Amino acid sequence: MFLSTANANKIAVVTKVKGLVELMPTGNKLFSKLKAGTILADGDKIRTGTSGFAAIIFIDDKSTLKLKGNSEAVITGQRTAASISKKINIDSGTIRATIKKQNSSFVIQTPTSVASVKGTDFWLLTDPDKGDQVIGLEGIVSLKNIETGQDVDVVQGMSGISTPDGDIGVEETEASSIPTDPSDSSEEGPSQFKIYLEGPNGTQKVMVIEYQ
Amino acid sequence: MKVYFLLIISLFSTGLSQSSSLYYHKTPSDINTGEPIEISQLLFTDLGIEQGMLYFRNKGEMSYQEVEMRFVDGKWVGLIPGDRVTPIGIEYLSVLTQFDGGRIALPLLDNPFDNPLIININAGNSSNKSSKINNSIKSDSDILILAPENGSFQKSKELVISVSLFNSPEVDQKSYQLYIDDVDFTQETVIFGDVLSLVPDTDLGIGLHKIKILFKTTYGIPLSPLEWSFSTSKGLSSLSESFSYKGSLVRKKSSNTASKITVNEDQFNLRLEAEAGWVKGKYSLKTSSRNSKYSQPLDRRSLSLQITDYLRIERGDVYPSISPLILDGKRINGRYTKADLNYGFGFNGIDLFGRTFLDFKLKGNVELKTVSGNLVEEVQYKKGVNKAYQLLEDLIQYDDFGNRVYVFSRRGYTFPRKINAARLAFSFNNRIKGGFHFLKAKDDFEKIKTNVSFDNLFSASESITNDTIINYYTIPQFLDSLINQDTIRVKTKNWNNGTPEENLAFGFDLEGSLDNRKLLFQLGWNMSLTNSNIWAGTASKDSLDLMMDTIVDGKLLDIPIGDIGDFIESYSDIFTIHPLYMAPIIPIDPIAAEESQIRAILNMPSSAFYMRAKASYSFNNVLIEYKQLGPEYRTFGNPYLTNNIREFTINDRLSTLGRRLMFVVGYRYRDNKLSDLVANPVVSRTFSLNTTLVPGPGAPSIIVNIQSIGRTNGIDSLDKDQYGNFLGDSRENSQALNIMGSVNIPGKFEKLTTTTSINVSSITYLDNLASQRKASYFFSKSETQSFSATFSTRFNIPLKTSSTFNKTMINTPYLDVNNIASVQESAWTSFSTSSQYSFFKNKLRSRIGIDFTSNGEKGALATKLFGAKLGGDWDILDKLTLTLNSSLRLIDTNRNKNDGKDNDLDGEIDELRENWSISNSGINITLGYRF
Repeated sequence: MFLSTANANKIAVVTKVKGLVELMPTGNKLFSKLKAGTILADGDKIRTGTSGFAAIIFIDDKSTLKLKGNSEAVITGQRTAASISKKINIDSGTIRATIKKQNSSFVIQTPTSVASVKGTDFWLLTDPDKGDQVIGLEGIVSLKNIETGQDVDVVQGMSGISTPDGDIGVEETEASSIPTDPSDSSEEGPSQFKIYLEGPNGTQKVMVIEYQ
Repeated sequence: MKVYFLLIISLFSTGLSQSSSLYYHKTPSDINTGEPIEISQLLFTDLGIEQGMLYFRNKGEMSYQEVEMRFVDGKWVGLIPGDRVTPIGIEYLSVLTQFDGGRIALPLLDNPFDNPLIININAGNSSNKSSKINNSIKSDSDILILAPENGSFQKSKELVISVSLFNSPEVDQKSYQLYIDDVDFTQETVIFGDVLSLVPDTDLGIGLHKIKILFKTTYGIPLSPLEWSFSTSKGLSSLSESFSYKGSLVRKKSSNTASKITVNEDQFNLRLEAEAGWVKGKYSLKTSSRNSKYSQPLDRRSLSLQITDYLRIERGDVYPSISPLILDGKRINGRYTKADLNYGFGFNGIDLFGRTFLDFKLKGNVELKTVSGNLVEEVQYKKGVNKAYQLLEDLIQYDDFGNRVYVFSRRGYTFPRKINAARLAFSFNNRIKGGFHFLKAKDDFEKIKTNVSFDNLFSASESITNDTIINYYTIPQFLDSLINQDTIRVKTKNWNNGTPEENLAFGFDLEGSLDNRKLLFQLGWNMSLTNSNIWAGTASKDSLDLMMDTIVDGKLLDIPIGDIGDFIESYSDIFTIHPLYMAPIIPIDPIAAEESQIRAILNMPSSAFYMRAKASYSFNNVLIEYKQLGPEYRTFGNPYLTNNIREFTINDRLSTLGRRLMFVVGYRYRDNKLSDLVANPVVSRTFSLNTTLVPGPGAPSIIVNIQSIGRTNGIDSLDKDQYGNFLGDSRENSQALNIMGSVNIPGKFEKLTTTTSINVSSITYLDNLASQRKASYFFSKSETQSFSATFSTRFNIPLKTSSTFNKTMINTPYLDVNNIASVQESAWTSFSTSSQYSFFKNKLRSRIGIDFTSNGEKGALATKLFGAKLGGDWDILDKLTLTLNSSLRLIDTNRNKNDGKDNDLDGEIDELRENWSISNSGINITLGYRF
């Protein structure tokens, strides 16, 4: 079986791996191939190749994190008796976080921003040069620009933009900007059928029908 | 005479040991949750038994499940499946049917269904039986299934199985077992940092797969198995590769003799399971040479198809469950389909004026079950005298020419009972569940022929035939014996061996949950219509006119019969309405409605309903329930429902000391006062306290159960005639006290492990009116004290032994020849020991056992039984096993000594060894092959 550093606190398990995905266990300096079933410890770093994809699930509440291609993130978590305070440091790439209602904090930090969540579903696209885009799918994400300290709430249907220059704002999500989730197109879980609606004022809405 | 008096044994309510002059039976003890329970009954009588049925239910439930009993090792044995054995406890009874149609009930009462025996179930166990894993003493909701999701689809090469124990610190992470489709994957599985993880090395293949994980607490107490399922796919191209099958073939020949009646049986069993892609199929076949057209079939066939998780189709002998108050596990020969569809959809809503409207998200499932087939199979007639025809000697008719016409009725028939039932259920967001259901059952009387075999005999008295010698005739013989132009006629309906019936039952149930299902509210309501004689057909308008009076006025009461008649006819396809045979004639009791319409609706005589609240907080599981079944509520799908009751129950199961000490405290009130017309309601109040202490692995566990049942019948005065003379005393005001204690002591030594189980029980009764009774009053409650001890060993060498001692003292009241109340004291003692030893690397397993039973009497009443059994299994080849079991039981009864009769039929009244006879014997040979 694939075990990360034996003495570290275990916080998550890798449930899906596609393409090139690598792991640098905490305390190590070299990446090795990541396999599904690996139990992740606090501080483990994951890196995906161009067409790589990984899904991990936290062991206290089943919150999930999906990393698309060309992403690099450090998964950290402080265990208490009741929950795990989670923090994801992502330098670049695209992740989707589906967070269960948290008894403790769940923070995603990029070089540009900090996103705090309590229970939500969103995409985060980060680029050290261009900044971050948070696309809200459900719930509320608090997005804070590190440069200025300003923050905005990103809700469902909206996108938060945070740039290295310190700009931060919210705009309506364009349906086409929502990344595809590789695990949605596989045979896992309910499939989604999306109907895009556009109102008289040009407002776009998406109706998602899940089916199995 | 004594035998007769013993037959009136009246063991009210519970009993831990039941014995009589007819049989010996000991209620099983030290049973753990999830363990199958073997109920056995050793008969002493010479009465031949044709078949036996075991009925059981969870304690407090309304309806019974039934299981056929078999004659094994000289005893009638029935098996209660392990999945029905829960900490709630089991109530059971049995009915043995004799060849002559007589019945022997356990307990030996006229109404055994109202007074079942009780088995208390251990919630947990620290003994070496812990491999039996179904103990459910804690909620498993704290164990998180991480992957795969229940019901999800996976690519088989990407499968990861993972479970989080983060929130379950009490789970022992060193002791677990993981099965996929019953294949053990434990060796490949790891638990590390509170996470169980498995990536199977082997390809599971396409289709539906089930995962089962067995955990124990750190105290060694097994938890409920964690089970869920998922499906894998690879594409249609690999469908043929994914085909797999397994099964078994078993041939069994047996010859058993009991009560001087030998039953030879040849059985064949086939079980086949096949799987291809999304479809799993199972076929099972059981045939018996004892299958006969003269009785209900013993053969069983069933084919089931499971298509993913969503559709299941079963044909043959199926055991559907629609609703506990409608149809719950009774065998049906027909078809059962179950479709279970999950759904989930939502809408983000519409933003107007800065607010979102119409947004919603719904998840849940819709379930549809349908059942059709035969509840009872047709039997045209039976073998024996008056089992096909009966001459109605008091119904001789005459034709136009004055010749006699002898009228016959049909006998020995059983109508085929057709059934259709369905249930549509739904759930929303796992918070609201509900469903509607119905059942229609109708006897197809046209399938029973008027003219059947003319070879059967019937009796005809001398006054009819004028023949003092011949008493039995076939129909042709009888016709030959007739004089003049006398003839016969067989009635075409209204036979006197039972009328065809029809039943319609329908209802609904609802469940709401709060706080993550810690708080549940459940409600169910049902109603039935029963026609007890559909030979009469739908009521005609003429008959309606004259139903309530003798005036032909075209009205029933004040309602025009035309309107009623049209209404009745329009529903004739659904139900045969005939007020003379229907129950109820009208759903609401008009007399009760005059006083209170709400009360009349609630107390509709053919309704059954329940209201229930369950709460699980802080180690407490509280149940509060009210249920009521009207006196006319009947469902053919569940014929053993106890009706005419209303019942209030409150229970709390409390766990302390890390679930090592558990208490179940309960109170139940039951009466039959469903209307003001019940002048003398029978009321029972039951207080119970069950305590279970399971300190941990290797330590003794202790169980103590105390139950007090108070019972009154509402009669508060003596029976007197109009002149005030004493007639009798029908008052009842009694208190039963049942106490049961059990200690299980595991032992572990260098070369063996042991389990010692000690059980004591006592059932006593107190007549609260004893001081007011006359000396001649007969208080018909039997009291029982029982002690039993079992010592089991398992050695390092392949040897296992088990010895059991039991002593039961029964005080049975009876009326002697002078009608003076007396008490018969008897003390049954039994001892049995058995062992199993394996040879040749477990390829040959031998079993041997002896037992002894005595009724403790001396002199002519003394009865002793000596039994021995010998058997073994031999694995002839891989997966091919030959099994042999044999048994012999001798009975030594002094009743046959010095009675001046030739009891052994050797032609001499020598009394030599005539006290010895063979009670029963048997030999079974089985050859089984698994593939």
